[in-house]
Amino acid sequence: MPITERTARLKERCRFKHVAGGEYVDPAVKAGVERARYVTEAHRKSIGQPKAIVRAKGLENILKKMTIHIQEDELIVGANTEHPSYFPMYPELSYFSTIDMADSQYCTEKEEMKAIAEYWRPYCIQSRCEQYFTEEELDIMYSATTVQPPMFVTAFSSIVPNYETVLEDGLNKRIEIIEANIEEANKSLRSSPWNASENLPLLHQIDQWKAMIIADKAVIAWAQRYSRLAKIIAENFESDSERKKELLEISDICRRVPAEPPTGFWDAMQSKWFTYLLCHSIERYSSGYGHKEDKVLWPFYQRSVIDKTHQPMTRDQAQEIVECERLKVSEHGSTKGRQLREFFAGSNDLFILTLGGVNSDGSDGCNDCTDVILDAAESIVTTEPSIAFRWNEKGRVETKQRVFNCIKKGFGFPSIKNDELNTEQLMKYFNVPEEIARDWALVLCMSPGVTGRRGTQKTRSEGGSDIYPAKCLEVALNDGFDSFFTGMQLGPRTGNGRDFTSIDQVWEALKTQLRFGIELSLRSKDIGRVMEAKFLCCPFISSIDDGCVEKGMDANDLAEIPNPWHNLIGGSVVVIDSIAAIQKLVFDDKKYTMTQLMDALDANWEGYEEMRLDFWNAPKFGNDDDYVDAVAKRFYDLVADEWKRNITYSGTYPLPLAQSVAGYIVNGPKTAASANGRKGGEALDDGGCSPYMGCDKKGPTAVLNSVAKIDASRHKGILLNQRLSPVLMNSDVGFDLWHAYMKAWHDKGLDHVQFNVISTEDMKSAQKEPEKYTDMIVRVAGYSARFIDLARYSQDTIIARTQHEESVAGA
Amino acid sequence: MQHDIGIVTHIQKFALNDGPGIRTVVFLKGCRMNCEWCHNPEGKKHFPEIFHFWPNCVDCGKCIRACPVEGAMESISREPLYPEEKGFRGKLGSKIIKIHKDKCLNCFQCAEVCEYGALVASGEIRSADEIVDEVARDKSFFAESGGGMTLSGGEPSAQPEFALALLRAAKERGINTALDTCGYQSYDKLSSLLDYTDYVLYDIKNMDEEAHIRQTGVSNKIILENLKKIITRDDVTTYVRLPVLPNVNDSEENVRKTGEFVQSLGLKDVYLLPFHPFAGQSYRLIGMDYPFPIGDSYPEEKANNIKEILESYGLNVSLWMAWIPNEEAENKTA
Amino acid sequence: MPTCKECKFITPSPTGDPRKGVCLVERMQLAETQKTNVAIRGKLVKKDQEACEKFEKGESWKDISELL
Repeated sequence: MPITERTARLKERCRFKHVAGGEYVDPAVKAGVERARYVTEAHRKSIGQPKAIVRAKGLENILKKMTIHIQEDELIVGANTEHPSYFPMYPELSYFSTIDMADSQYCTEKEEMKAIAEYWRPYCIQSRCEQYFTEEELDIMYSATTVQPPMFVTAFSSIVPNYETVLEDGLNKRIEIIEANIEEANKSLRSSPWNASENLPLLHQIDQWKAMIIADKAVIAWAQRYSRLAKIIAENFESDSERKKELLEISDICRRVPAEPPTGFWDAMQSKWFTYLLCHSIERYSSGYGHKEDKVLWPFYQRSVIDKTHQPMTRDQAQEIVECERLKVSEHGSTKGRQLREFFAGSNDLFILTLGGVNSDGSDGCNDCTDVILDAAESIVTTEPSIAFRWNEKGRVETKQRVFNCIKKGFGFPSIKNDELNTEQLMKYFNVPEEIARDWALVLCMSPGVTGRRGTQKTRSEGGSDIYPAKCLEVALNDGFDSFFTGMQLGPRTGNGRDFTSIDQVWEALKTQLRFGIELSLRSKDIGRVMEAKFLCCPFISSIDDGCVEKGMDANDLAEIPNPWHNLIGGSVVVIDSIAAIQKLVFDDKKYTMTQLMDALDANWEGYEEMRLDFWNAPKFGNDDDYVDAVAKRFYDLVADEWKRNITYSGTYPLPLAQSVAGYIVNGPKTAASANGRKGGEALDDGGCSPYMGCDKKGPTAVLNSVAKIDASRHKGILLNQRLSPVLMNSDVGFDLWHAYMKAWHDKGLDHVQFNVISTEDMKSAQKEPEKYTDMIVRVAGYSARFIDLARYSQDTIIARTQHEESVAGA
Repeated sequence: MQHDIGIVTHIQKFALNDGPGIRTVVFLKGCRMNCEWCHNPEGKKHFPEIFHFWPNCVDCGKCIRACPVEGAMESISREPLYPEEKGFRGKLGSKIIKIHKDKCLNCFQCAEVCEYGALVASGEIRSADEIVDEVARDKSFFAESGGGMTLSGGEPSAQPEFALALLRAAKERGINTALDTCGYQSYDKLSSLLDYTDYVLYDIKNMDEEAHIRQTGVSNKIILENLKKIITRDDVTTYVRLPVLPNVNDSEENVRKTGEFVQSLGLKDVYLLPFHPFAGQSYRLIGMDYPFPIGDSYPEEKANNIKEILESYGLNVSLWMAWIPNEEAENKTA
Repeated sequence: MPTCKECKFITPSPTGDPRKGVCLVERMQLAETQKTNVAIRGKLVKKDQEACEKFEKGESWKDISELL
């Protein structure tokens, strides 16, 4: 139950933006044209100026002219579009995405949007990048079979904004710092004697700094518009005296933040929300909700709730504000092309905030603000934002009890990441000093990155993008050719599986295909990054990063703390189980030949049912079986080795990250029959190391034991789904048993785990009578969704996850 | 050395209601009693058996061809569907295999060729060390939850040397042990097992001797006497478990007698195990008859009634899986 | 003749390239051993190509429960 009547009303009328089957559920959702219109208008006028200035003027024009609105009951105000039902568009990035959106049912201003798309065609990042690839390479990438299409066509990105500088300094102070830098530079230009090598780089820096100032001033002016609007409503339209008071307070808050540092909790939430909108949705689009929220808000929470020195409020009032935040996120419209909407089945975007862990000094990071954020998640019941909890040995039990309470209700979040393991990884691979590494938050679903005043991740060209391993194995056995889905040559010619005489040849072919995929993907990311830095400068995002301000560099350009990773999406376990079955049945037992296997796979197992059952019954990952677990270890090590061969934009190699999003659903129909006994078009495995559906027969402890054999420290993350029985979780000893299970999980050094706790019966009932189960939330992958918003095929894959029950035998 | 080998039906990991914490239960095959409600029909006989999980059968005929005995297997018309069969998505043909148990040699050749999981061998001869190796894989879960290994069955004390070897091997590796027993065994043999046992889960089925003989095939005298002796040992903790079966042992009189008896022993914790219908399914799925109705769990109200009666004897009574965490486990999770 | 673009079994732009789509018309019931029920065999198509005999007019997003 929402904590107040206000949030109950807000939830009731919330314009949720989640998608089902790749389309927005709410029929009122539309593509808003204002952002695209005003960025284009400014571009036409300023095109001859330095690129950073052009971008700053674009942002300035949007913030000056975009329609703003404040809704009834709102405590936190601000939106990314002209209407609460809309999402914005970004023609400067991908021509394909824009034209696709203009052509869709969401766009009502079709002619204007098509003209805008055509205007941007020569300037957009897609056109600037495509020229460095062959037609064949583009076809492979755009088919989304072995690799994800590149950022320059999906327009998908991710970022961790530097909320800390906005909250600690305020934008007025940021402007002062930047102005001082310009003054310093001007002095240097005029110093004697003339030194070209020192001075000429200053020109570029001055452009960047000037752009940052334009951006920051535009942002302050935009917040002032909200301040005025709140006042106008209060003084002219609002009859309720309580609400009138609130509106005047909102007006006062928006007058002060983000120009000045916040005083209390309400200020801080508003300032953070403005910053979020700008970094994730207005200056450019970036997915995620990456911040360590309990840490960022804690000083303000202390002042308002504990010490009551600034904006004094009760704990319940603080919880109400967090509930309001969750509803703002739920209402926030993110813009993604069709492929990504399908990839995030049931959700709006990947909003994941991070809690728990330790403070930078190593002390327990859980505090009462952590608890309030968890309490609000439990009371308001929304799928978004999802929560990641950093499980540290030091974490206090009362907070872990709240984590358990949310999981027990079936939300699927918090998902749990191993705190020590992820901190060590940032130190070991990316040379991050320990006290900075300790402040990590998830950038998206699974990948840790630093937070704080500088060096945070600013673009998905740094870390992200996918390889689809099950498809790589399929083409590895078919000379690199895909006859199932595209009819194209998708990778190097690695020979026909019929000619393979040892399991090592299978591994070698797989390695070659993975190598081709990762190299093509990394090239597309880094070329995209160069073009982003040149043509998609983000002066506001840069202005709040201490590193960018100090160096006069754009946020896309600067790689102060590298964080490269590259995903393996859905299918890792299909590969492992397939190779184990081939090794056992073809090369160890010699029960079948490779020719027989390839014939059966080509026939999609039709006419080979008994043979399929043999492959289906071969050793499967997730049963603590050393035979197949050794294959798993070899696979994850192979991937880590392959990724390690490369050096990316930020000067180091990427780490792999095995997870699934909804890729295991979307990529199922693209992947032919596999040697684990799976038919073509059947779903893939649903995690990064989750046993294939129905293949974990020995219970959750055996699953953890299998997963523990993988060297997780060489990976950015490995996603594990578990289904636990609601009866167990709701029993008197539910918490004790779960807590013991979690401690064993932690002792084993595993990276991640998340839970579904909805019974099979309830899910089946929801399929029959969806209207009765509108609040049923399930974990899909790195995010949660309402069960009834998922299509049948996706629902079935979640029901099919093995539910670990208490034993019923032995009485 | 031969005593280190025994016969088990299966090993269940992540068991939560056969003793405190997260446990691994080893089911030993063979029992000396013949309870009409037994939940583990595959645990009754002392030798490996073939079970026909007939909803999986597609009548491919491979097993008949593999069977070395003329006439031990035949293909017959399928029976009308049982309700529980609806949960299976088998390609239900009109024919099905029947095994004539009188001719069957239990050679398991049919199970070896069955690709569909319809013919399954139950009961495997294994060594104690090998089993405890498997159990020990979950040691970290035991340590964190106050769990360990539970021997169940069948009746574990029906293979006393093997059970002893298992318990000893577990203790040697620092694994907490529990013995789930019906108590129908000589006290000497039971007592030797207790040297390596931390928890005893002790079933009391009926206080009335005649009824006990009728329902289980044996007298309850030795069972009740053994319990009196076991509780004198302070190196084991004993939990009494009462299977509650409709019209078998759920009369108020029997419940009161049980309460009095447990109270007189000075025991505190009692676990009620009300009848559940899962066993009926397993019986029919392996082609055996089961005397209890399909699909009805024991009524909650009646179970609560029994709980209240027992509580009036000053006992802590727990229903179903609500295992009362012991202090040791609590300290570990605090 | 209608094109694939007008068919309800085509998801509009699964790849980032709006000229192409995935046809999801072909599906099969899975064996009893599998935990899910249905396999859907995807096929990459050009949206402006002539539709096949399984064509049904419609828009996938309106009847999406039949799709993924």
